[in-house]
Amino acid sequence: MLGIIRKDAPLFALYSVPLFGLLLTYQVGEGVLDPFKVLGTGFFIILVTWGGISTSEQREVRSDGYAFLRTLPVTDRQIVAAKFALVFATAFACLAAAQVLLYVLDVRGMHKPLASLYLFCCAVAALLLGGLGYVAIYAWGFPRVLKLAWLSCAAVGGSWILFDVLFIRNRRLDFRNIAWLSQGRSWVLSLTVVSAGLAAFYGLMRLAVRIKARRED
Amino acid sequence: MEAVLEVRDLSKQYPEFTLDAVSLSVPKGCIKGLIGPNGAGKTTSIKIIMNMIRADAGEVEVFGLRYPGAEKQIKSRIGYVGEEQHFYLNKTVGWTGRFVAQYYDRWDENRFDKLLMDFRISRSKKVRELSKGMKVKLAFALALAHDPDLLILDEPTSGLDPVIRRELLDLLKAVCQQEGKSLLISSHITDDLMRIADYVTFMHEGRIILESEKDELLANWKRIHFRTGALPQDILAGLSHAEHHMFGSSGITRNYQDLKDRLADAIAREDVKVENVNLDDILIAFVKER
Repeated sequence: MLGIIRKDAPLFALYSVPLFGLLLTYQVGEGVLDPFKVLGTGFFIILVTWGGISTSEQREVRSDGYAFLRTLPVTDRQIVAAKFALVFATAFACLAAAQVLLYVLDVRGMHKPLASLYLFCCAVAALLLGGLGYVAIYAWGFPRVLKLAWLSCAAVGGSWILFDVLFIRNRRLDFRNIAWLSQGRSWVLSLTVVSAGLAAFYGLMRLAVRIKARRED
Repeated sequence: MEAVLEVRDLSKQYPEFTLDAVSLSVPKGCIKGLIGPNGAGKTTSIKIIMNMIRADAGEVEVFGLRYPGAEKQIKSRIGYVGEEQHFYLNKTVGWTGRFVAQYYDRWDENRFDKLLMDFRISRSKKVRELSKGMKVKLAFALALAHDPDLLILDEPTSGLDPVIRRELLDLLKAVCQQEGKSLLISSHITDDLMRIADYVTFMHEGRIILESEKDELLANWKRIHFRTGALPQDILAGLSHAEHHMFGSSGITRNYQDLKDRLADAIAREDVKVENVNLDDILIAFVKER
């Protein structure tokens, strides 16, 4: 398992380190966070995690790497666990950096607890998308999933515009400042989101192992 | 003799192919050849033995251990070379060796280096720069460097030139004889198996049709050429693949050792001539029969 992690870690770092580093440097340079920047930071957590998955899977496809791994004394469970561990490590590292940023910098136009919760949600989304991504890759193969990912991005982008038009502009829904979050125990919600996310992530990993073994039959 | 590999009643159903109750074993320290035409089920059987695909039914026992629980223990004692070589193409030979080494307790870096040197493969070369023959040699080096107790080779020499083929077969034979390793090798190039196998198993259309010691098989299977009327009727009836030509007739017997004494006089009179057959002839005889 460690061998696979060591093999793929540079491919995950290839996206996350320069992109996230650049983003953080820019934010620190600006000195103040606003909702747009918080939103961007959260989106970057998802982006760099998926970037790592996509690069490493592209390499596996190009070299038929899974066929090579199956000849070694390593089980399907260990292969999948190594892949999921890297997704977790990437999302966790990005989330930690973003939370430090939030702690250090001022946030204007948005309550800090909400910003923090939003970043937790993004990290959980990165885990779930990564997990779902691997399930889909083992079920349908990477090239098809890549196409599907592009379509999903377009769909999410489209629905965000729709959401903005329908709810935020017309009904003046201010999702950035939900009063109870700034007053209450936002950490309870964050903890719930993270726990549920991790449980779902573990479930997806087990599903990915089953699907991978079945597909190779 | 103690078996390092026991396969019992393996079955696997595909839409256009069925592996049907395959049973075989590899005795310790012996070389077993798996022979069959393309699509006979050799690769499917080997992939099931390597737990790369799962059987619908049947059992695989390697070193007395079973999948899936003992997958790591089993595979760490097997050296595998497949029909196609899969490596990370953009990595170097040295990196590949280091990567594979992590998974084996008995990895011997000196032996890996020596094999690379013997095969004239540079550690710094990228895998994608290697020719097909070189990739096969790299696969052999990786399979042998961790001192496996059992080697499983699936058509390892197909597509290689005769020089490389001979080189690799000699190496395998030496490893098995000197180090007491066991070997299961599948091939449709029967010449390879003639050179090295102790036992042979014939497969056709997903079934095992014959399993025997190679020398015993070759001692019993003979082509008999005879003048018309020179053979007793019962021997004639037992011959398969009869051919008639202007000099007489010929056919294949499967029990020459039993007929030897009865044919001695006819052989002395030169009414009968006995010719050795090779594994190809036996395979073709079986395929034609079915």
